[in-house]
Amino acid sequence: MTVAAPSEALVREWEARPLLHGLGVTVVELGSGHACLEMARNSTNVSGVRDSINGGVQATVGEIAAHLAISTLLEPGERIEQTQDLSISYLYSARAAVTLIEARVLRHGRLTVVDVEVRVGDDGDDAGQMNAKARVTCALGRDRS
Amino acid sequence: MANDSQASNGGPSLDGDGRALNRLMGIVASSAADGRARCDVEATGDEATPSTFAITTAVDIALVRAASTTVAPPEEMNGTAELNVSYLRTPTSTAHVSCEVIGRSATSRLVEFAVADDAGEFARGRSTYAVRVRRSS
Repeated sequence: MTVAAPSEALVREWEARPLLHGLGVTVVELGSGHACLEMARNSTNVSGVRDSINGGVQATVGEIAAHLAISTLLEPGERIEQTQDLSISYLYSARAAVTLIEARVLRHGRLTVVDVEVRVGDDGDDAGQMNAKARVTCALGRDRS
Repeated sequence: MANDSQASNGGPSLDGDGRALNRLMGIVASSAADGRARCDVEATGDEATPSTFAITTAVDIALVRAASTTVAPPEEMNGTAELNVSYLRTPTSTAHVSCEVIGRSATSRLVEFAVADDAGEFARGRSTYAVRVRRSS
């Protein structure tokens, strides 16, 4: 998947974070108000009897995807102050070799709202099946100049 | 339905395979008994304070531990079904997660949690954890 040139620095910055590397997360798509991450199963993100991706990890990567999607819309001097609220419903255990986490900004403002879907990324009968659905609200602020 | 967040014995994910995750996130378990569980989240790497990213995972791990202390055969753990966390501010020091099972049914445990640092409470939330009855073979 092609990453637009203005986003390359943003992708490099995020993928350099130890948290993303440790969780096996890479950025596969980034556009205006939209981010898609891919998480490969590894010994860190899987912890459960049914070999599923840890639920907290799904929520965390959903939050990361939301921040990344918001980052594409930030104006100069604008920044994400904090996650204000995160709600996630788990639908089916995430056991695929590859899990996709897709975030779309629903509203951009002082409080920015992002819709996040966690889906099976493998080819096969359950390709695209939704594992979890999340809503992330973040507070934005401006740097003091 | 639901997400698996527990170890093979139906217990919490803080043991065994969860160790690498805890190290990565700076999560340290402290206690779990009688429907309550606690864990701490420390800053990792170059960060001066723990991130909400790590706290989100820590909350799930702690609530699973709290729920696990209320589940006994023939019931078994079935995974987190819902999780909601609201932040009032970002943490300024090591975060302390405290979870408590406040309600139970044949299919779920309702867990409330609070997250505090040295400056006081900065996040609260609630979760529904799914349980099921093991079928006899």
